[in-house]
Amino acid sequence: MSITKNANKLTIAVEGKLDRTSAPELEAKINEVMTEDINEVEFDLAKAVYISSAGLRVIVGVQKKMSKIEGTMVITNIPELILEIFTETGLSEILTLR
Amino acid sequence: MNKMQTSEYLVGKVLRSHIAVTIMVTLTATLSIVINGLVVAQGLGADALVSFGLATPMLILLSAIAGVFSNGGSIRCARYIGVNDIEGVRRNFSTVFFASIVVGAIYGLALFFGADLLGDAFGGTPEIRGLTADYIRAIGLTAIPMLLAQDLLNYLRMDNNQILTTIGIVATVVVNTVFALYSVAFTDLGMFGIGMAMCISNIVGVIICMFHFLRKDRMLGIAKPNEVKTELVSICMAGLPTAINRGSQTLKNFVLNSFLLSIAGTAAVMTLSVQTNVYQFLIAISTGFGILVAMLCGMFYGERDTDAIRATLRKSCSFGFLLSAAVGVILFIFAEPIAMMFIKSGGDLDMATTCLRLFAFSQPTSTLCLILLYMYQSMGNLLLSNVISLTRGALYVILFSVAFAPVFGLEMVWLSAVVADILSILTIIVVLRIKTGKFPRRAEDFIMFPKGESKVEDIFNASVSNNINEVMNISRSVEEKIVEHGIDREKAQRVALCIEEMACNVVDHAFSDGKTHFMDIRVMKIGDDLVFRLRDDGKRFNPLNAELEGHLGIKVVKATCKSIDYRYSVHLNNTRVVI
Repeated sequence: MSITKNANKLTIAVEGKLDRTSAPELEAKINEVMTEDINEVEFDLAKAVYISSAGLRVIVGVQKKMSKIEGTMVITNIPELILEIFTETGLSEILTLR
Repeated sequence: MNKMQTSEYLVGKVLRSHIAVTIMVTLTATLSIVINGLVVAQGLGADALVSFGLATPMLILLSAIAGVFSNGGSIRCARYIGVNDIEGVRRNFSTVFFASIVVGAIYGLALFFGADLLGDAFGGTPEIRGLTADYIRAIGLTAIPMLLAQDLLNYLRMDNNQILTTIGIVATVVVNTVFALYSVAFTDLGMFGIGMAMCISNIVGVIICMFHFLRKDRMLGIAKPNEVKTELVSICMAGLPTAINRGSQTLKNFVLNSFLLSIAGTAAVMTLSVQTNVYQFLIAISTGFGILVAMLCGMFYGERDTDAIRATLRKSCSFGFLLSAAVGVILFIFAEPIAMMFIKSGGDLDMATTCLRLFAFSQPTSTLCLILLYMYQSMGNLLLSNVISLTRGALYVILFSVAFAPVFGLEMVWLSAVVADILSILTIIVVLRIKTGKFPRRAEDFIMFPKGESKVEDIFNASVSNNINEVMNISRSVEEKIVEHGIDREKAQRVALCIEEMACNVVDHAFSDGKTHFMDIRVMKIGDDLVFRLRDDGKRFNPLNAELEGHLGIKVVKATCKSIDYRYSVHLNNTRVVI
C-alpha cells in the first residue's frame, strides 16, 4: 500500500489484498496523513486483488469524512472482482467509481 | 489440533451430547414390548410367556413393515426437506400415511382371521396354542394404529416437533402399561388383553400426534398423492435394509422357536422369550449409536467428506464398543436377578441365567454391526447393509444353532448372537476384499462409496480454534494451495475472500461465549465448481440472517460465489459455499 499527498489530495494505491489484516494498517496510515486541508481522495485499485468487508469499511469511513467536509472521493482502476463486490454490496450507489 | 483431530473432536462432541437422548428415545419405543413381557411373566404364567415368545415374530414383522414406511419414508423426505420442496414432503408423507392404512388393514385382517391357524402352526400344547392365537388376534387389531403411530412419531421429529414426539412416546408407554396391568389384574382377557393394551396405547399415540396438524408452521400435510407409485417404490427401496433387518429377526425367532420346541421343549422357548425381551431393551444402545451414525454419515456423505465419515466411524466404534462392553459386563454379573424378573426359580431359571450370560458377550459386537449397517444405509450402500442385516439377523444365528446345538447343547443357541455378529463382520471384510481388492485394516477401509458417484477432489483442509490470526493465516495461504491444483488464480482468490469473511464471522459471533471451540474448513473440487465448507461447534449462527442485519461480510461472499447455504444440525453449524 502506498499513500501520496499532493497539496490537498491524497492518492491511496491499494496493492494485493485489502483484508482483515491489512485494512487496520491502511486505516492507521490514512489517519496519519489525513490532515484538515485534505478535501480530495483517490483510491487507486489497479494493483488490488480483492477487498474484504474490513477493507470496505475503511473506504466507507474515508467517504464519510469527505462527505462531511463536502470533499470528493473517487475509486479508480477497479478490477472485475472488486467491481462485483461494490455492486453486490450496494456501495456502488454511494461511492464514485471510475 | 490438526484437521483429523478436529473432525474427531466435533464428532465426539456430537456423540457425547446426543447419545443419551437417542438411546432413551429408542428405549422408550421398545419399552412397551419389554413391559408387556414382564406383565405376562408375572401375571399370566409360564404358558402365556411361551405364547408371547411364539407370537413375537408377528409383532416383529409388523415392526418391519412400520420400519420400511417410517425409515424409508423419512430418508426420502429428508431429501425433499434438503431442497426445500414442501410439495415433495407432503406427497411423501401422504404416500406413507395412506400406504400404512392399506397395508395395516390387510395385515391386520390376515392376523385377526388367521390367528387360530397361526397359533396351531407355531406349535406347543393346546393351551399355549390358544393363548398364542388370542395374542395374534389382538396384534391384528393393533396393525393400523401401530403403523400410523410409528410414521407420525418419526415424521414429527423431522418437522421439529420434539415436544409432541416425546409426549406421544411417553403416553404410548404409560397407557400400554396401565392397560396391560389392568387387563391382567381385573379382567380375564389374558393374552388378548395384553395385545389390546398395545392397540389402545397406539391409538392414543396417534391422537396426540394429530395435534401437530394444528400448527401453522408445519411442513407436513395431507396432499393429493400424485406419482404415488413412484414415491412408494422409492420409499420401499430406501427402507429395504430396515425391512431385511427386522424380517431377519422374525425369521430367526420363528425358526429358533420351532427348533427349540423340537429339541428341548417349552422351557427353551421360554428362555428364548426372556432373551428376546432383554434384547429389546439392550438393542436401544446399539440402535442409538446406529441412528446417530446414520444421521452424521448421511450429512457427511452429502458433502463426500471422507475425513468426517472416518472420524464418525472411529469415534462411534470406540465409544459404542466401550459402552456396550460395560453393559455386557453388567448383564453378565446380574443375569440371575434379571432372569428372575421373568422366571421365579428352578431349572428354567438356571437355563435363562446361562442364556443371558452368554448373550451378554454379543453386546459390543452387536453395536459394531449396527454402526456399520446404519453407516452403509445412510450412504445408500444397500448391498453391504443388507448383507449385515441378513447374516447377523438370521442366517448365521440359525446355521450355528442348528449345526452345533444338537451336538454341544443349548448353550450354542444362546451363544449364536455373538458368533453371528463376528461372522457378519468377517463377511463384510470378505465382500470388501472382493470389491476393492484389499482387506480392510483401518476404520476408513470399511467406508465404500457406491459406484457411479461423482469424484470429489480434496484441495485444502484446515482446522481453526477461536483465533482470528489463525483464520487470516489460512485465508492468506489457501490461494497458492488451490493454484497448485491447476485451478485458476481468480477462483482461488474468491475462495480466500470467502474463508476470511465466513470464518471470521464464526469466530466473532458463533464463538463469542468464551468457551473453546473449533471449526473445520474444507475446500474441494466437485465437477467444475470449487466448494468451500465450514463446520463448527459454536452457538447457532446463521450467516444468511446476518445479511438481513446489514452485515457487509455476507454481502461480499454473495458477490463472490454462485450459491451459499446454511444448516444447523446435530448442534453443528454447517455452511457450504459454491464458487
